Amino acid sequence: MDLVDFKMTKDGLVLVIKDYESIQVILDQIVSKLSQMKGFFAAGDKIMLMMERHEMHSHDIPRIVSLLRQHGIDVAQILIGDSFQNDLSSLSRMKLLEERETKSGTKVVKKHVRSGQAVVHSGDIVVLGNVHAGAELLAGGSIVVFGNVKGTLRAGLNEGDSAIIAALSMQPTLLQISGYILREVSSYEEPIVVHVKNGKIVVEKAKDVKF
Amino acid sequence: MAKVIVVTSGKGGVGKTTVVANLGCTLAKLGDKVCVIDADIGLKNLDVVLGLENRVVHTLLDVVNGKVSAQEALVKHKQQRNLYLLATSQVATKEMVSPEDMKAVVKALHPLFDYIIIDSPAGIERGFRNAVAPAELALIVTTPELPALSDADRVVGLLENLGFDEKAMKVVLNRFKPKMVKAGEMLTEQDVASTLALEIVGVIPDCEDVIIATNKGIPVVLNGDLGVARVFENVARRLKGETIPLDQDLAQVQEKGFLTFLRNLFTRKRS
Repeated sequence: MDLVDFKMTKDGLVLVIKDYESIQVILDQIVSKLSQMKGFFAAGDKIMLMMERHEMHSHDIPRIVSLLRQHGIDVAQILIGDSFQNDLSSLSRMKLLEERETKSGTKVVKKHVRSGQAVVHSGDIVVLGNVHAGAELLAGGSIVVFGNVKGTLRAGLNEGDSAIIAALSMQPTLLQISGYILREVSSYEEPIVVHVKNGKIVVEKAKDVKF
Repeated sequence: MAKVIVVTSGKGGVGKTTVVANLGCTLAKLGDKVCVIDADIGLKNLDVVLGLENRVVHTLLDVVNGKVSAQEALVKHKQQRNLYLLATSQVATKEMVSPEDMKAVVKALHPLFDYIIIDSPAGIERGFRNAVAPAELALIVTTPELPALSDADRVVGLLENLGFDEKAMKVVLNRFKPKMVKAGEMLTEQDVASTLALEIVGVIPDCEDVIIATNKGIPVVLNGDLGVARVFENVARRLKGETIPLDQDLAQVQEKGFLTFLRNLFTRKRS
């Protein structure tokens, strides 16, 4: 069955991905879909991404985004909706901050990431600014924030447990490293590091942390 | 050429329309030619707050549909001869106007005024996009409450996506209650500034006179609390490029208790 489909809406082209078991199947289907549509896309084209059960599969988003980018397609927005049959145009959307290919594999964001904005990158993300409540960072590797964090951070989505999250201060909504999720994190007013230690996600003050 | 300002918030009920009316009056008092535009099509209020609802002949919709020119649709304020209103229709919907229409209307008014202030509807849909399209500066009104701040931050993000940089977005903190702040029960202006990471151009005290003035249709700066009028004057001067520290607003806010007491004493004696 086809889990991957392109849909035309009045706002542009949307890549719709249905709920799935294996990300590899999805990636393969995207590649075959793209080869069918050869010549349709020009380099630098922008599309939107819509995933059924986005919450469940958020850790795969960087892989999908980077695969599309390898084919010269940029993901401009991620659409979020509960009901999959909904009119696509009515869905709330996360706009991806403009992202240029980085040679180092690190994405440096030189501004505040605000509510409703998302940064998705397959490598590491460094933010020089705050991550506000309602904003989301999705990194294949680690996340370092030179500022305050109130939003949602998901790190290690490619790299796994060895990724870390560091910030100058934090009252985050949700922290995730690889498959480990931390909710209800208490408030920290000093630099802290979040990492996975002995199969557990731990929050430590930066000056005390030992890897 | 006019400076075009949109007053927006995301959340409803935080005082956008009151800020537009009072800021418009204050700038007009300072000698500028000001036009206020009500962009809340279908839920108009600005004409009522300015006390001009029975003088409106033509609306924004008539201008957009080409029935009259923008200039013909303007209504002059009763007291402030420098202040004009472009009212909107209560029976139309926001979908009947496009961002391009708004740009065209504002462009027509551009040469006639020093300031054009657009009152945006609540929300982030079509009405918001209409109101924001012609503006070069956005004033984001918020109250010191978390839901209002969260919506304000969302709006700032959207404005950023529309091309506003951080210098073109400023915060007006409304309904500030110094007593509660002192007791640690309300967010301070620093909390708000750090949450939104934007410059605050005014801290407006919560004041019963505002409600009375709104219901009378006379903006509070024209006939009411002196402290509030001074705060709005500070806001207007800051928008003109003067540097006035925020403490001056807060000073009005804090003195207010005593001032009102004195003033009440006076009025009571006279009556």
